[in-house]
Amino acid sequence: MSLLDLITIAIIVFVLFNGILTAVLGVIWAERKALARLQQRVGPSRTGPSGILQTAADAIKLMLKEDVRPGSVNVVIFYLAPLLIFTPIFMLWMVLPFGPDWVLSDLGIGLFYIVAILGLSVVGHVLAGWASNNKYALLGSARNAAQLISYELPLVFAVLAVGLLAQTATDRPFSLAGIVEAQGSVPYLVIMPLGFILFLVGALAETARIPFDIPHAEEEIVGGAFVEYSGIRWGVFFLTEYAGLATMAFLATILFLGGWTGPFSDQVPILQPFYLLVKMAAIILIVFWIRAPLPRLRIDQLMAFAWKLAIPASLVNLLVVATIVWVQHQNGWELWVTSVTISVVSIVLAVATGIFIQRRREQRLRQFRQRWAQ
Amino acid sequence: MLGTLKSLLTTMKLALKPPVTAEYPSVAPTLAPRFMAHPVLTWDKDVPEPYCTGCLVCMRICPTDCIDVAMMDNPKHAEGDSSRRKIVEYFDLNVADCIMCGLCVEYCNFDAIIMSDNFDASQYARPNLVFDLEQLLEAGKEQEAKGRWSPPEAKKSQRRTAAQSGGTAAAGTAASSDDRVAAARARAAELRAQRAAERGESVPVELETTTAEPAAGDAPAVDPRVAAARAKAAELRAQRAAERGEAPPAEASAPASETDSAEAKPIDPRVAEARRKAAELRAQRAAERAAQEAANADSSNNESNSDESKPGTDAE
Repeated sequence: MSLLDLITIAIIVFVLFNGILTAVLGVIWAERKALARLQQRVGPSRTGPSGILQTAADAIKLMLKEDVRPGSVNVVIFYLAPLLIFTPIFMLWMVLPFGPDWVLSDLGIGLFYIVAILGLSVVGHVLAGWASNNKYALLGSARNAAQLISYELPLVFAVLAVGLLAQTATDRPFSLAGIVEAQGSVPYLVIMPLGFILFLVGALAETARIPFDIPHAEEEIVGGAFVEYSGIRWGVFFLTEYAGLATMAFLATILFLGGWTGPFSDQVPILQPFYLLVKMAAIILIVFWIRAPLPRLRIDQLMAFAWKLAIPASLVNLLVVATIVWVQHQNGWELWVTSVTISVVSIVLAVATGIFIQRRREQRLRQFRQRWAQ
Repeated sequence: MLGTLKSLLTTMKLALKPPVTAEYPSVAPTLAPRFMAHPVLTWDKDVPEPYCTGCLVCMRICPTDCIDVAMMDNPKHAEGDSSRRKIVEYFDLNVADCIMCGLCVEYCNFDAIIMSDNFDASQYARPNLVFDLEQLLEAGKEQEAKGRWSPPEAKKSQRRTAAQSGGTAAAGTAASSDDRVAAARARAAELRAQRAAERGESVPVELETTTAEPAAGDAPAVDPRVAAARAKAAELRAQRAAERGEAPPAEASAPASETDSAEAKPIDPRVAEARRKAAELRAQRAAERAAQEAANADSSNNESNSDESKPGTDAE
């Protein structure tokens, strides 16, 4: 590797890093604005046009704040934890493609890389909670670990189903660019809606977004693992959260929404990142929308949902996709036959799951009422 | 599941509505026409000097003692420029104490003080909340510029005599003068007369004529909307009176026989039933009371003064 290569890589990493930071500021501003409109408020409106500089002002304030370190913390781990939390998220962006050629490193096993790296950020959370020497921080990090382990499974199963499906159309089924190419003009959202829903739920839980924000429930454990952090270190935690959200939206776009493909995206390559960002923004807006009406789940509800519903459903989804793909291999079906079959089965499964949840809920309500009627 | 989807739909519907946020410092709130903040003083442009003569009426009526005034001889009167012999020397209003009740405005004899809409007259230090004569006059000019106050054509004392004569003699004179206060007084007098009439004669037909006539007579002189509203109110009142007029016969006839109560058909049969029951109960109680009184009378007659405490305990 020559010196020129090193310099090129350094420049690309610098640009990407600052791009993520800027994007995070934008996402935070967008969340505050969107959430405000969903609650009939105005949102930030004083700093800059439509308050767009508000998050920048907040970031500057965080940087200038005193960095308080409580006396009883484990100093080395306390200072290491924010880095350990942020690094995995940043590492994910190494394999995320903005277009067929707009990618730092198009790994052949990109999907596995992402799954592996996603699990790493929990280490930072646990270390932060442990090093803080604070009950709330430890509780928060323990909750985070439990939640991440529970929701890693449906997320990974949904992602694996995507890889299986991509196998039918490309010879690089676990490369992110390969998956986008395999989707062609029909995104996997249409073929595998159940997988998309499971991925979205898993992503919400992984990024600890409402209604899954149990790890840093402000009302009970005052912020979870970051209780003792202040200033820019706290800012890093906050930034990681939103960078994680953006990453998850990016992944959902690549895996289920057809990535950069769109009208005329082949003829005009400059449209490709644009399409990608628009789809990503749509996913992020849906996440904000989900945040507006829903309250936080109880921890038992969270666990029950993961282990009783999400994991079985994702396993069934994986099984169905695998079976149909296998049958296709045996019988030599056309690609569209496979797609339609999976699509029909998946929609039926999604509706059946919904009806199951509703039935179960009604049954519980009936039991509850009977118990209190006596 | 369905509930979650419904909640998502609800928030999306809310998002399509305009925000309810009041962006106060950049967008001024719309105040009610009669909104009252602290009082301010008016400025007589013709002379020019304040209307206020420093007569201390506002200071004496103020429930929170937040006004401090002093009177002095008017130098302009000595020169012949002004008809005011006395003029205000200083006028201090402590807005921190003011409860914005408007009594000072009500009692002022010279139209010298008005209620302003300066609801955000906040200061950084408490002493700054004592507004002096200059500030109050300046604020009064602002109110005039905003159109919340305009100089009166006649003096207040003249208007009062006009209103009094209108109230006692005829509503027409008060209504013909374009003064709203006098009109209001006349209206109040009218109402009072009406009520007296109602109390005196409870026949519904006569009530209708007494209320309808003044309303019709006022209509050309007063605001047509007010007249219309008054006519409607009169109608309603007549209607209610008619209802009430019908009710007593039903009530009265009910205890006599059950067939009579069935005749009062416009009334809800359940109400009629309840009334009948009530009347029965009342009659029963009256009978009981009569019996008891008779018994008491008997006992007091029988035992005379021997046991005085017993009727007392019964009464308790």
